[in-house]
Amino acid sequence: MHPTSKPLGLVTLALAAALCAPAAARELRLTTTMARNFIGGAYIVIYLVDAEGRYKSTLQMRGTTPRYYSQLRHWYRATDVAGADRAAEADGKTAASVRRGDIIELSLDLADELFDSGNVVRIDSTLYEGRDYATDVAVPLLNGSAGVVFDGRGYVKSLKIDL
Amino acid sequence: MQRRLHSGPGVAASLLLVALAVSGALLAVLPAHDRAQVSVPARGAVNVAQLAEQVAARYPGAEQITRKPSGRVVVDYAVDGDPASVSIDPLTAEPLARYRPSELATRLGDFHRAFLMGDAALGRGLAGFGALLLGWVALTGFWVLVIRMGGLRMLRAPVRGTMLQRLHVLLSRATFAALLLLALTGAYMSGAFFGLLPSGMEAQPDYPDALNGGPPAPLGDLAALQSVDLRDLRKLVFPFEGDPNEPYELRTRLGAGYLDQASGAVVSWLPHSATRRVFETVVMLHTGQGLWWLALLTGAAAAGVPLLAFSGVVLWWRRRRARPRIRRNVTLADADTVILVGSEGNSTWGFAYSLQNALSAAGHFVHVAEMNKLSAAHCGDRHMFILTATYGDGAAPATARRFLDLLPKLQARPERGVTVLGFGDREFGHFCYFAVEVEAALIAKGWPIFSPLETINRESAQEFARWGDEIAPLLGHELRLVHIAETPRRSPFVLISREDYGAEVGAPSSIMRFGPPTDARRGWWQRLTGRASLPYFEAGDLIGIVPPGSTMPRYYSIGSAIEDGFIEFSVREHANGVCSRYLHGLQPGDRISAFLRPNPEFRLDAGRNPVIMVGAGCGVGPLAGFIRANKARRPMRLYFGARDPESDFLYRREMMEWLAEGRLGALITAFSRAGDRARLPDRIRDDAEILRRMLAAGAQVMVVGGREMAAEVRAVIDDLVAPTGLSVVKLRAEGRYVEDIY
Repeated sequence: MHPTSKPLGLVTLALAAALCAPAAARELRLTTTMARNFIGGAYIVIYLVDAEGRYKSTLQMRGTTPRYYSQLRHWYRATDVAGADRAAEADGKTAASVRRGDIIELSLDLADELFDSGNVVRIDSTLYEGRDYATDVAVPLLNGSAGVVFDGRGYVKSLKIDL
Repeated sequence: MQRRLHSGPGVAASLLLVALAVSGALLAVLPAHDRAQVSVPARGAVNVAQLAEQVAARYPGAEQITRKPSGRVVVDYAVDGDPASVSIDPLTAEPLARYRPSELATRLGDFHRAFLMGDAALGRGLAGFGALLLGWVALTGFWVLVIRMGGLRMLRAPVRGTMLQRLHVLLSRATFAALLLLALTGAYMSGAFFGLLPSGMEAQPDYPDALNGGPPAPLGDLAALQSVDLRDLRKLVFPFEGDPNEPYELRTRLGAGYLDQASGAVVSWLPHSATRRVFETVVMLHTGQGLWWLALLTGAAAAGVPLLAFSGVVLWWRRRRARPRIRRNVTLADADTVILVGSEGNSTWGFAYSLQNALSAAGHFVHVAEMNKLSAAHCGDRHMFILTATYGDGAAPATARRFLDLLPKLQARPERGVTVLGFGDREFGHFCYFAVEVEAALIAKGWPIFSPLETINRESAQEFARWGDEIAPLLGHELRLVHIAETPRRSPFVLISREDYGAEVGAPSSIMRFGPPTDARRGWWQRLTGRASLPYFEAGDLIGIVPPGSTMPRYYSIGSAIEDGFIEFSVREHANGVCSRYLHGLQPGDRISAFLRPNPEFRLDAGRNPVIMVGAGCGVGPLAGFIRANKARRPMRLYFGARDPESDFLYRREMMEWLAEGRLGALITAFSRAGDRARLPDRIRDDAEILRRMLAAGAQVMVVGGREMAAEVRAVIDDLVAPTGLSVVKLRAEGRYVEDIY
C-alpha cells in the first residue's frame, strides 16, 4: 500500500520505528467535516491517544501559527510529556487553518496493533478569538467504527473513519 | 526629492492604505460599543471565587468563564451536549444575553488582519507591509512638511496654498501622531506573527505532574481564586467533564497556571514575561480593546486616511501634469538641435513644441529641455535655440533660474550657433528683459550667435511665424511655424451689474460683477452648500479673460468669494487695452467667456493679526474682497489712493458701511487732484509710528497697484521699519508682505 501523501508516509515510518516492531500497516481514511458555526480560520489538530488518554501521535495539525497551539488544550496538555517536542510532533503534518464547511480528508497508514486496542482518534479545535473545544470529537479506533459518522460538539461537525 | 520619497510610496500603495484604514476605523468603534453594553464593577467588588461559585451553581455544564478586554464576562457551557455561550452579569451571574461574536466584526477583523485570507502569509504579509508603509509615509510626510514650512518651529504656522493643499497639510498635521502610533504597533504585531519580533505569547505553564485527586473543594473557598479580582481575570477553565483528576486552568492579567481541585493550591504557575506584557500593551494600543477612548481617537485619525490619500493622489497627479511633458523628445546623443525653454506659466513650452514639430518635419532631430538643465552635453556640433519668457520685473522664469549661474562654468558651446527668442508683453515695462540678459551673457561668453535676439509680443502667432521665415534661410530649409495657443477651459459668465467711476477725472474705472448664466445647472454639491454654480474661488484669485480678437488671456484680481455668489473685480479702461475696452463696452446681461485661476500667494494670513492694505484706483478691488469677508473683525487699515473723491472713490459707500460695521478698522485716503493733493506714500510715511507698532504686533502688509507705485511703497516701508530691524525682504520671507502688481 502506498500512502497518498509523502509526509504521512514519514508518519508511518516514525510510528513503526517508535513501536520498534516491523508491523503490517493498515490504511486509514479520516473525513472531517467542519460546522458552519464560525467565521474565519479555525485551528484543529487530529491526534491519537490511548485508552487512558495518553498521547500517542499527531496525525494532522491544521493551523500554522504556533502561538495558538496552546488553545488546543487537550492536545497541548497531552503533548506536555517530558521529552516531547511539540514542534517536532507537528512538523511535516501542518497545513492551513480550516474554514467553515471545509471537508478535510486524510489518508494514512497505521500499524496494525494500533487498531482495536483502545486507541482513540481525537480532534481539538479553537478559534483565534473565540471559544475553544478541547476534544471536539473522539472516535475509538475499532473495526466497528468504520463508516460510522460521529458528531462533534463544537466547530467540527462530524468525523468518519473508513478502514 | 524628499517629496518623491513621500508621494511615491503613498500614491502607489494608496489603495492598500485606504483599505487598512477604513477597516481599522470601523473596527475602532467596537471597543466603545462593547464597553457601553457592559457594567464593570469596581476593583475589589467581586473576586473570581465568588463569581466561579455562582456560575457553577447556575450553569451545571460550565466549561469556561472568559472575561473579554471590554469587561464582558462570558460563560461557555453545554446543555445536553449542545454548546452554548452566554454573557452574564458579573455580580450575580445572571444571564444577560446569548453571546455570539458579531459576524460583521469578525469579517472586518479578518479583512483588516489578512484581507480575508485567514492566516495565509500573503494576507498577513500585505497587512504588515501596509503598516510599515503607513509609518514610512507618515514620517516622510512630516519631513516634507517641516521643509515646506521652513523648520520645526514653523510647524504650527498657518498654511498657504490651494484648498486641496491646505486640506492635505491640515489633515496630516492632525492625524500624524495617531497614524504613526497605529503604524508602529501594527508593524510590531505583524512582526510578532512572522516570528521576527518576540511576543512572549508562546510561553505556557507546565501541566502539573501529579494532582491530589481528592474530592473537589467548593469553588468559593479556593484561596487562590479569592485572591484574584474580577478585573484581573482573563479565563477560568473548568476541568473537562468534571473529572476530579483534572486541574482548573486559570489565566489572569499577571500570568497563567493550574489549580488543584481538591486543595485549591496553585500547582503550576507561569507569570507573564516582560516581553509578553510589552506585546499585550502594543496590541492594546493598536486595537483599543480595553482602551475604548484611544480606539475612538485613533479610529478618527484612520478615518482621515481616505481623504489624505485622495488629496495626495490628486495633488501628485496635478504636479505631474503640470510638469513639462516633453513629447517625442529625441535623446541628447542623437539630437542635432537643442531647444532650451525658460517658462513660468507653461505657455512658452507651447511655442517650443511648435518649433520642435517644424524642425522635425524638416528632418532635424530635436531635443527639448528646461534652461535649468544646461550642460556640456547640450552643446557640441549643433544648433541651439533659447526660448524664454520674463518673470515679473525682469527676473528669470521658473525653469531658467539657474541658467545664468550655469553658463559661466561651461567649457563647451554649440558650434553651429545659438539664437535667443524672447516672449513678453510691451504693456509691462522692461520688455523681454531676461531674454536680453541671456543674449548679453552668451555674447560675453563668446558663443556664436547665428541670429540676433528677436522678441514676440503678447504670444503673437504671426510674429512667431515671421521669425520662422527669417531664420529659415540660415538653417538652409523652409521653416513653417504654426502655433496654436492652448487656453484653459472657459465657462460663460453674465454681467450682473457695473458701477462706473472716474470718468470725469480721466481714469474711467468700473467695478464689474459677474455671475453664472441663469440657465446654468447647479451641481448637487452646490445645492447642498447653497452656493451659486460657480467654480470655487476666494478673494485674491484671478479671472482670466480672453477678449475677442486676441489669443492671450488677461488677468484681473477678484474681490469677492464664492460665498458671495458673484465674481467682482475692478477694471480701469486703457486707451490701448484690448481687454479693458472690451469689458467697458459690456452691458448688464452680456456674456463673457473666462476661466478662474487660483492665486494662493496673495492671501490673508490665517489668524487675527492686523492687516495693512495699500491700494490705488482699481487696485483696491481684491482688498475690498478681503474687507468684505472680515467677519472676525480683525484690525484692517486701508490706504486708498485715487484722483478725486467725488469721481473715482471706488467702493465709497461700501467702505463707509464697513467702517461702521467694524470690518474695516481705519481708512486713510489720498486724493491727488482734490483737497490737499496728497499721495499715498506720504500718508504712509506720516503714520510711521502706528505702522511700526502694528508691524511689531505681527501685521501683514498687502499692496496692490502698478509697478512704480509698488516700488515707492516698498521704499517707504523699508525706511519705516529700518529702526526696528525689519525690512521688506524679511517680511516677504515670512509671508507678511504680499504684492499683486499689474
